[in-house]
Amino acid sequence: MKKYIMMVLPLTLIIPSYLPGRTTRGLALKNFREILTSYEAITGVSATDAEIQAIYRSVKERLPLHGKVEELSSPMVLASTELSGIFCSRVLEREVAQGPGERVFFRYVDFKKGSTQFSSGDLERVIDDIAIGFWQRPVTEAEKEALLASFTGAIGSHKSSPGALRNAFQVICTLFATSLEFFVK
Amino acid sequence: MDHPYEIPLTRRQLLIRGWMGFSALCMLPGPFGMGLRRALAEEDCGGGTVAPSHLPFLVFDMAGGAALPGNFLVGGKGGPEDFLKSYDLLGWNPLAPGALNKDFGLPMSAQYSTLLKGILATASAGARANLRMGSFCHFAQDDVSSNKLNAGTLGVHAGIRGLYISNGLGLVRSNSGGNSDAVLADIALRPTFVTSITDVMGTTNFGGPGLSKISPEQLKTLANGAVNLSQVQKLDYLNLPKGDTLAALSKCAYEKSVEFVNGVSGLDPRPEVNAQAAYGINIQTSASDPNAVAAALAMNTIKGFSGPSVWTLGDCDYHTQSQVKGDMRDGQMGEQIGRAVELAFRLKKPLFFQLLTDGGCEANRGTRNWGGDSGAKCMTVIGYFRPDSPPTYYKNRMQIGFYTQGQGAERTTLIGSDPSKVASAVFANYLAVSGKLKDFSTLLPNIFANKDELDSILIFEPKA
Repeated sequence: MKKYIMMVLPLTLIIPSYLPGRTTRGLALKNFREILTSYEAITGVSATDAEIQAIYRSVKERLPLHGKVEELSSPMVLASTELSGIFCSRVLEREVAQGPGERVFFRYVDFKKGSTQFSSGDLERVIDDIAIGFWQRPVTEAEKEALLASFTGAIGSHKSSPGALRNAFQVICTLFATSLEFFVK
Repeated sequence: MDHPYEIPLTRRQLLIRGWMGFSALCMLPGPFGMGLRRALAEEDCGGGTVAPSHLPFLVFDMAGGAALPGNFLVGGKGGPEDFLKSYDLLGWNPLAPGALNKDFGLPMSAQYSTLLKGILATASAGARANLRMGSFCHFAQDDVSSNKLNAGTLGVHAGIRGLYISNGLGLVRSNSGGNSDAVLADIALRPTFVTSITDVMGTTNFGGPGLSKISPEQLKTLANGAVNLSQVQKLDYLNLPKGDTLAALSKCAYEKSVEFVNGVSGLDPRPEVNAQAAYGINIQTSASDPNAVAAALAMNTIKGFSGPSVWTLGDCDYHTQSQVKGDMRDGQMGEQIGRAVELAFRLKKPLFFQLLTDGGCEANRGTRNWGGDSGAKCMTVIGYFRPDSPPTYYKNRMQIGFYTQGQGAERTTLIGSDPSKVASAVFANYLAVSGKLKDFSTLLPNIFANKDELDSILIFEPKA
C-alpha cells in the first residue's frame, strides 16, 4: 500500500499542472495601478497625498499598462524611481519622527547618529525588514552584497553624518522599490 | 535561487519550485520572436555619447480615414499620370489645366490640396527643393486602429534607436504610437507615449522631487545599485517563461538610467533656434502646446535623440458632406510635414517619413464634399528629404500599385489588399535609401517572395 501511495503521490503534483485552466502564461509585471497601490500598502504612505498624486499623474503613462514583461524599459524604471522616491522620502520622514517601536522599516536605526552605529548584523536586519516589506522575503546573500555596497557607496566618507545616513536609506528604499523582484509578479 | 524561508504562495514562487508547467514560448518562431531575439542578441539599448547616424524616420498618421487621393494624384498601372477616365469621386479633376503641382515629384492638386498648401506655407524653398514623395495604392479598413500600416516600429526592430529615448515617441498609447497599428505586435518596440514636452523630458529624468535632497553622487550610487541588483535578480527568472525576455530587457532598462543621472539637455525644442524657426515656438511656449509637442517629436527624431516617432492628427474622419473640415485637417497635416522637413533642412539632416491613414473618403460625385467612408480609396505616401540634393526615383517610379477606373485601389497587386505589406514596403524603401536593403529579408523574412518582388515596391533609388 505504501509503495502504491509513493508511486501515485508524485503524479498528483505533476498532473494538475497540465489540467485545463492551469495557466502557463509566464512572468508578468505589476501594472501602473498595482505599482501605486503596492507602494501605498508597503510604505503605509497614502497615495492621496497631493504631491504623490501629482508625480503619479506625470509618470503613470510610462508605467506598464498591461503588466507585460515586454513593457520593462528605461522610461518605466525612471518613472518608478521618481514615484518610489517620493514614497520612500515620506516613509523616512515618518519614521524619523517615530520611536523605534512604532516603525516598520527602520526599527534598528538611531537617526541621530551616522552609519558608524551599525555592526554588520544590525544593518542586515534593517535591510531584511525593508525586503520583507517590498519582496515578502528576506534578502539572499547576493542581493545583500549588492545592497550593502550601495549603502556604503551612498554613505561615502560621511560615516558620522545622520544626514548622510538618512540619504543612504533613501537610496536603499528606492532600490527595493525599483527592483525586478518588486516589479515581477 | 532558492528561498528556504518561504512557503511558495505566488504563481512565480510556484513556477520557481517547478510545481507548475512551463510553456515553450521562447521556442516559438515568427517575426515577433525573431525580431525581439535579434534586438536582444545585439543588446541594442541605443545610447552612447554620440547621436547615431541612421536616417531619421517620422510617421504622420491621419486618424479616421482622410482623403489622401484628394490631395495626391493616383493613376493607373502606368503611374500617377496614367490618368483614370474620371476622378469625380476623388474630389478634384487632375486633367484640368494647371491642376497639378509637381514640386515634390508625385503630383498633388495645385488648386484644392490644403495639404500641399500646408507644406508650402511652412517649408522654405530650400527645404522643398530637396523633398520628393511617392505613393502606395491600397485598401485599408475605415476608421479602425487595426490596419497594420505603421512602419515606425520596424525601424526600432532593425535597431534604429535613439541616443536617449531608445524607442520613438508617440501621441497615442498603442503598439505603434499612433492610431493605425504596428506590423509587429511587440510591446518592447512601442514608442513612449507623451502628451507634453514635460513627458518627453521625463523620459530621461532620473530622480524627481522625492530624491531632490540626495546628492548627485548618491543618485549615481542609486542608479548603479539598481543595475547591480537587477543583474543579481534576473538570474532567478531565467528558467521561467519569459524569463529570458525579462533578463534581456532589464539590461537596457536599468543601464540606460545610469546615463541620465547627470541629466540630459537638448530634448526641449523651445530654446532650440532651428525648432523655433520651423515651428513658430519660443521658450515661453507652453509645454503642452500641440505645436511644441510636434516640434519635440520631430526634433528629437531628426537629431537622433529618439527612435522613429509618430505624430497623429485625430478627427480626420471628415466626411461631413462638405470639404471644410477636410481642408482644415489636410492643411494641419501639411503644415506639420512642412515643419518637419524645414527643421531637417535647417539642421542639415536627411528625413524619411510615412504619411498614412485608416481608409479614405469618397466625395459626393463631382464635388469635393466628402460624403462617406471608402476603404478602397486609401493610399500611403512616403517622403524623402536630403539636405544636399533631391532624391532620385527608382526606374522613374512614383507609385506602387494603382487605381482602377472605378476610382478605387486595385486589391490584387502585391500590396493592394494587405496593409502590413504596405508598411513592409515602406520599410524596404527606408532601408533602400539607407543603403541597407540587403538586410530586409533577414529582418522581415517571408514578406516578399523574392528579389524581384522586393525590387517592385521600391520608389527611391537605393543607396549603394
